[in-house]
Amino acid sequence: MKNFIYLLLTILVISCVKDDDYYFDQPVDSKLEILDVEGLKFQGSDITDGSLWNFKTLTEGSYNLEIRNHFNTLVSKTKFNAVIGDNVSNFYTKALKDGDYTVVIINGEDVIHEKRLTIR
Amino acid sequence: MAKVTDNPNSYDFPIGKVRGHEVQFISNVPLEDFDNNVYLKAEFSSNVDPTKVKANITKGSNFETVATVTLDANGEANVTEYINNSSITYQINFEWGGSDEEWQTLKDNAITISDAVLTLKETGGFVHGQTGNAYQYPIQYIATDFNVDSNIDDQDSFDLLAHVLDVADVFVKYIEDTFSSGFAIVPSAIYNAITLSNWSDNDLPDLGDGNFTVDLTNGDVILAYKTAMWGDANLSHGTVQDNSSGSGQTFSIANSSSIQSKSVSRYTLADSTVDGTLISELKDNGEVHVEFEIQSDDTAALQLKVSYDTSRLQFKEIVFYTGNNTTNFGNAEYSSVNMGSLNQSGDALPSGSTMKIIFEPLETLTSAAGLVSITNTDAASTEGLQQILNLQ
Repeated sequence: MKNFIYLLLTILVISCVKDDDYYFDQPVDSKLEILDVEGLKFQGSDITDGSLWNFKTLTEGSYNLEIRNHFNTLVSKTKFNAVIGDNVSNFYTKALKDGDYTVVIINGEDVIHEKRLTIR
Repeated sequence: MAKVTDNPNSYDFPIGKVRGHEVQFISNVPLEDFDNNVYLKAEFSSNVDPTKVKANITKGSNFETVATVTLDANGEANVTEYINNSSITYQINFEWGGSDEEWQTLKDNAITISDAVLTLKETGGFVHGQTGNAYQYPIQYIATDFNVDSNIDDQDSFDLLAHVLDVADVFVKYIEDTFSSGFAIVPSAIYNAITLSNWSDNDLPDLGDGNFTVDLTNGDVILAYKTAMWGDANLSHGTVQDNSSGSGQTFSIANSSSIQSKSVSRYTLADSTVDGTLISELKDNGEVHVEFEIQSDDTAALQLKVSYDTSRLQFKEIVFYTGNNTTNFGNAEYSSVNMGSLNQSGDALPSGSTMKIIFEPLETLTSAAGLVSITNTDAASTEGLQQILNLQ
């Protein structure tokens, strides 16, 4: 009985300890896998509605994603939060006209990544 | 000119004698012997896509259909094939070749807040006590004389403002909401002959019945047209008159420097830029917020049109923080949100003023990337002049 109480207490103590932050490497689609420690990758050279993109970073924080048309005019800007490692999410295109765009990732004033893509 | 056809090949003889073998046949033979071409040249603003416009060519008193021609990107077409007889009359009627949505987009882009401000300024409704001197061309008066009483007054300016604010459509209220009704394509000679006095005297040049003939013996024939749009006060989607200075009226120019910066074919009053930011964000509650912030302090009016993904977002509301003396407007129609602010006293919107669009999600979203885009912007300075909105 005493052992059983000790066991219960041990479980209770362990369960009340604050969890450490663990980052598990989520399996990333091979098309989105970035071998470098940082990078930006899309499923293909064309972006279609709902397709995935991956932003891999060593620095957790807030970033901006800009979409610029071929005149370099800003047509959309999105703020997002990134964690260390891979950040995979959807890219939506229904509000954008088909055409060639430049997707830019910005941290503060710094351009981190820039890619020219066709949005369909 | 004539065409020799040997099925399936053909050859156009632009000039000179036309020869063919017995097995070939000759078409497009002019009834007269001439070496000239007939060109249709309609001058459009660079903001209008002429390829969306079709020209229906008819002839005779029975308006017999000859051909329908699509204009090229310069608003031109070679119609020699169809207009080849100087002894009969022709007519050309223009029609919209684009979709209804494209027609709506054209109207939305053409008539914006700077048009409303310009007309308010002309009628004294912007910076009270200052009337007139805002328009430069007689065609601007015609474009905004909505009740066609040969006078630009408060009613016209309020009609235009109501249109921009999506309260009442000046196309629906006064004319028909069609291209042929709201977009004038007028022979250049008539367009240029319009003066302030013949407008105010209700004595505009006679458009006639649309019949015309061509002289095919004296060089190429150019059928020249100019264009203007109903409600387009600043002619952003229209063309200027070539000889407005010959109107017999003295025009006071709102900003003399604008004369020097005016382009040949387009009336341009944009003389400055206004900075602003527009950023979207997926919130923890699933909503998508799109916030615009103005970063200049010499803008009295501005307007934004934001397109959004209607399959994933539902418009909820717009929240304005633009000061106490500002008229704000906004609504969502089709797949875009139209919003803006106007200080009719001509005072500047405070720098740091914001407008926030809030969308509710229709499905679980993983990011806000690409869910919204900016489709059109417009602004007017405290002087009532159009400004270019520079989004960062």
